[in-house]
Amino acid sequence: MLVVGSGFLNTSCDKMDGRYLTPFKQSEWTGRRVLLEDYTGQKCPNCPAGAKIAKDLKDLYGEKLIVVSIHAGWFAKPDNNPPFNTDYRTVAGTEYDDYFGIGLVGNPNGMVNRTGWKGSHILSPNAWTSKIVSEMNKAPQVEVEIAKDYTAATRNLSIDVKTTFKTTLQKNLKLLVWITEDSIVSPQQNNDPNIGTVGVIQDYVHRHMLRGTANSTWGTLIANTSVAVPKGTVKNNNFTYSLPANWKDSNCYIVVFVYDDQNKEVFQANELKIK
Amino acid sequence: MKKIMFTLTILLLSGFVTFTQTPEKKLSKLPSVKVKTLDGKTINTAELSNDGKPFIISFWALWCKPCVKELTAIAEVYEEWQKETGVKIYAVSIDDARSSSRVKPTVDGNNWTYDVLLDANSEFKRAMNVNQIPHMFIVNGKGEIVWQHTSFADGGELEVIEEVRKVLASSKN
Amino acid sequence: MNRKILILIIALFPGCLFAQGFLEGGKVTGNFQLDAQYYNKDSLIGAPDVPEKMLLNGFANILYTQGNFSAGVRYESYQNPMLGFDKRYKGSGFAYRFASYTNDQFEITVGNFYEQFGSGLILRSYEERNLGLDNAFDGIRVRYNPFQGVTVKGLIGEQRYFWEKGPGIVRGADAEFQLNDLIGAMEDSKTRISLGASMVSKYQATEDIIFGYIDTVGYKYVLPENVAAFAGRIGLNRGNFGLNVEYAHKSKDPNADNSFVYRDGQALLLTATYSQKGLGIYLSAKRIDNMAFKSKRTEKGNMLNINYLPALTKQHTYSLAAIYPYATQPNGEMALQGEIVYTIPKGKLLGGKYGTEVKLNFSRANSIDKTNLNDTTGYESSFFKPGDELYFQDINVEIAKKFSKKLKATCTYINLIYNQSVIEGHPNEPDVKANIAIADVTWKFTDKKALRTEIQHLWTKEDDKNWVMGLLEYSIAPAWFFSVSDMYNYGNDVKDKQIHYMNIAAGYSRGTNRIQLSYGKQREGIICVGGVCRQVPASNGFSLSITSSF
Repeated sequence: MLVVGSGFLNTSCDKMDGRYLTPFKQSEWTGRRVLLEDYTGQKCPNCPAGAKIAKDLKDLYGEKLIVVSIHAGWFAKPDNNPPFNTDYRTVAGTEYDDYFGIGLVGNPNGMVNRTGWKGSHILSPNAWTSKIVSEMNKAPQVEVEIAKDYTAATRNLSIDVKTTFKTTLQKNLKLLVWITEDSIVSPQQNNDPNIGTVGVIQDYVHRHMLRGTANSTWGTLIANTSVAVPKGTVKNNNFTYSLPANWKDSNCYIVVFVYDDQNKEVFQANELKIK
Repeated sequence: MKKIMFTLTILLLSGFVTFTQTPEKKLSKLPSVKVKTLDGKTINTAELSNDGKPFIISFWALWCKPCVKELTAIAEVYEEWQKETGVKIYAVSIDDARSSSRVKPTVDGNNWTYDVLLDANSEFKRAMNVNQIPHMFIVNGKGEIVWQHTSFADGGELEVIEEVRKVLASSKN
Repeated sequence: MNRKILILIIALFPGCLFAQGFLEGGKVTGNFQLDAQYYNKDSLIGAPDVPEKMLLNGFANILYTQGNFSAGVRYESYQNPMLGFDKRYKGSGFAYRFASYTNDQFEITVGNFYEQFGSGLILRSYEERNLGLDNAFDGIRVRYNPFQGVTVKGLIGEQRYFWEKGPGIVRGADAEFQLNDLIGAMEDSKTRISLGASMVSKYQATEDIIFGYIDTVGYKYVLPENVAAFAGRIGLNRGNFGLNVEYAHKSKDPNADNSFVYRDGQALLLTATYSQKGLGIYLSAKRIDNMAFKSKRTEKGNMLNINYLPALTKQHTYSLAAIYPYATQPNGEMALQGEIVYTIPKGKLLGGKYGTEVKLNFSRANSIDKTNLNDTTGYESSFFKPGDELYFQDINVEIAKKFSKKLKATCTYINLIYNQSVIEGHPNEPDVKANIAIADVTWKFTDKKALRTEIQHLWTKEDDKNWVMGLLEYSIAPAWFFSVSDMYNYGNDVKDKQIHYMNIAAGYSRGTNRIQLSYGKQREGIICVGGVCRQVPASNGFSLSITSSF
């Protein structure tokens, strides 16, 4: 961020305030954490610009925003030869991309809390900010907390999820548990000179990449429409996961979210570092 | 709800169509759309005519190979057609801003003597229910559309002049 | 809203028709088209697995006209949209409906409509059904012809966005003056002059869009809610000469296409023509600087365009010539095109018995001169100076000659330079330099039976390297055609990619009905528009197309 900032600092400061740019002020937090999914691929030259916007938003919101990059679609398909011969796609990520039709519209594109399904759920990076603002202003109907127990020697992870209903709900609710890995250094195609080398950025830092799910692609059902779950109910779930050897466990996170299976909308999300 | 509305519309409109089928089949007249000539004048398509003789309207574009083929094939026999039947061809180009300025030099460079009209945003094409070009219409002396055909194959111009002859013959009766 | 207008039209129909006596004079016409394709998975060419197996696009237009009144609807169905069409078109419904009243001086249309001001530099809404392009307005449009020589148009509307509407409201007005009709002294003048002026404004409520960090403080953009644009044009015609100039200017419009710079946009389009019997000369030049104009500021791609920036290059229809097409760079380009069309008269040395047509065409597009300012105003650009980067160059010659009543041929040669890096967004890829030669020969057996052969060859050292293509087409006028073709990428470095893209097709047309069936492989392509690249996958299978009008 400092690299981008300093370029603008030394010229025309009068253009910075009021006329074209204004400090971004956040309203009081309602307690709702928002999920931002960035659908991308290592061979997508326009994607680093989108990832930068995701990173700026993450820096701005901190733990209130959970960002996950999902490598899926044509631009994520690995080549037989370097530099793009690593496969960062996941079974779940490809299924989401097919279902929501994002890659076929183009990359980079993403979803915020999976709202707008279907019809206006695909958002381009510049449209993420306003959607995050409006989603974050809504009081959460559910709270989700994560506790973990990780043994580095065996690479076994035990995940405890506690879901608290803050209001009475009668919906098909599912709980989805993802494992993501941050700071993966790997080549990335790029065409934005402000971000890095035009062409291939050899040591590009991939952030918060979706690596797998602990409870199947679409998650675990924790409530269904036939029964109204009263306010105050607490549901506990436990999941286990074994981290593959090639993942850096010190960079891995658990991402959990509760969503309405009817319209896929995310009610609440949370994130916890594994190690 | 959408399905009901759609069915209703179709039913009502087919009702209208049967109502409007009076004993003599009603022919469509040309719609009223503004198009431009090659030297910038605006013309109303409802006023297109050929002194009471039949005329042809042919939709084409520079980028449409079969359209150019059709107009080239007819250009070779146009003089004979005119001597025999007095028919006139209005060649309506649907070229948009990308190629519409090249229409005049191409028409003159090819030695075509048609009356060329520019329908830059396809308004006339839409009003005539044209989908694919080339699409050709024969309009009789009373301004009614009596025949139309889409697509072109070498030798297709023979069918066109046959139809023009038929229109002339029936108008004399 | 859709339903209400439909109910209104249906309710009014019997009303006004019965009021006028009865249904005499009213006419229902329409057209429809159906395109369906069956997809086989083919990993050799990269054709994906299509779970639905068959995809279908269809539409029907129904038009009712009665005297000065007309109304119509279009029903579209994409179950599901064919590959190459945006998935967000999935579904069915009435996508277009309008009612219109016209008389000598006045026309009003309510509902959906298409419109163009001048050459479209500032406003053009149009449809290109085969490409899935449709930015129809939904609102009201009025055209007024107060007296001979003056046409005034006004419109207000929102634009179509798949099955919804874009967030912006567009307002526009245009006036055109035919001086020869207005000024008595000019009525009989040999010089025809027309003047035009347009003004377009779009409104979109402001929104939060993050800019980034300056010294650990997060900033967002201050976005203008109203963006105005104006344009002026002059058309001159005198005898064999013609001249058209149009200039458009857009106020500060930070959007996703121009990376949110606060800079005015400008466009200038100039065309000059000279033509006489047997010779036509055409020259045009244009400059585009920051003219992406959409009714949704975060939208990238083909949707919600308010204006139309044409590429000044010749559209090639032969398959190998169309592998590397140029698309206008809305953020900035300077382009030129020149063409000479000449028919060598019959009898002359090279003219032969029937005359020979020669077409020479040259086009070139460059970047604009840019000096980056490293702040939100973006860059400075000198108006008349082109930039250093070549985007596209096309030099081509076409000679068409009829040898006898039975034999005619067209030969074409094209030399292309295609900047992959800018046009497709593939950074650091070398420019594709290609030479293409095409021979197209038709032999007529009888008056109505003809056989056409095409042989094409593309030479290039870049991208997929060399291609060769052959086509045989047999037609029986006026109804039938059969064809067989093969596009072979024999020059590809990768042995697995030296693929034959074979295709057979047959078609029948009668009156306004046309049906076409084809089977074979189609190569993949990429569409890149304004920073978003979309892949058009390769396909393998049957495809059917039916069109008709009534």
